[in-house]
Amino acid sequence: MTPRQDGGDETRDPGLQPERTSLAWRRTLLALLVSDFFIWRSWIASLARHAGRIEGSALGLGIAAAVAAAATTVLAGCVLYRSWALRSTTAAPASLLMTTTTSIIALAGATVIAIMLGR
Amino acid sequence: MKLREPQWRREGEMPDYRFSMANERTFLAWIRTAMAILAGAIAVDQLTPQIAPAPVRIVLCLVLAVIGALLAVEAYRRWSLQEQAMRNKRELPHAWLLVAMTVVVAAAGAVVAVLILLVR
Repeated sequence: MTPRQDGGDETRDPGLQPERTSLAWRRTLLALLVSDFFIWRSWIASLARHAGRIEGSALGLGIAAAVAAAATTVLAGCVLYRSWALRSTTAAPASLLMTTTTSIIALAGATVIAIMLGR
Repeated sequence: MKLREPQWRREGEMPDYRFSMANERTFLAWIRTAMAILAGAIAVDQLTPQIAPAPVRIVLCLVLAVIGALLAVEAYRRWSLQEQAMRNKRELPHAWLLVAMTVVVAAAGAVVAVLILLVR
């Protein structure tokens, strides 16, 4: 817990900490794409079923697909911002992590819609 | 992105950046766990339509999705509690979430196993 005070410690891995953190953010964005894929798949399937006519479930799934896309965009923005901020190795602002959490909750909402309206 | 920093960010002293970043990565690991649960919920729903009667399947998947959402909230709460503990040089809070998630994942695995056995 307590930072060691001996001299060499300061420069032990100045490059690797930001690198690991930036990779963790990118990995998180990749994980989001899996859910996106399923939500968009469900929307496209419902469009195909309705053969051009837009009905309730296609509309609802369209909204879910849009929410998922928005969550992905927001998270991508967070990843870009954090990768940029990591160059000066500052601590993450609370608002960044709160935005990330909010985008995941939006994704959960889209997932719930897709589960209820799918098929 | 210019939201106000919470009050506790001005208390205590700034922790070593390595601990801060480790905490941030732990947050991201929990966020990914939440996403994996969300992806699992929707994957079970879409890829295995015959695994259980539709209402049972939908309820199970919805429960998983809600757990995923709660886990995302808890990830943020844990991050902020640990950051506060580090700033004030207190002990890190107890990781009850590890036990809870072990139970949840084991239960989900058991339910899916039972469903697979019943479907055959």
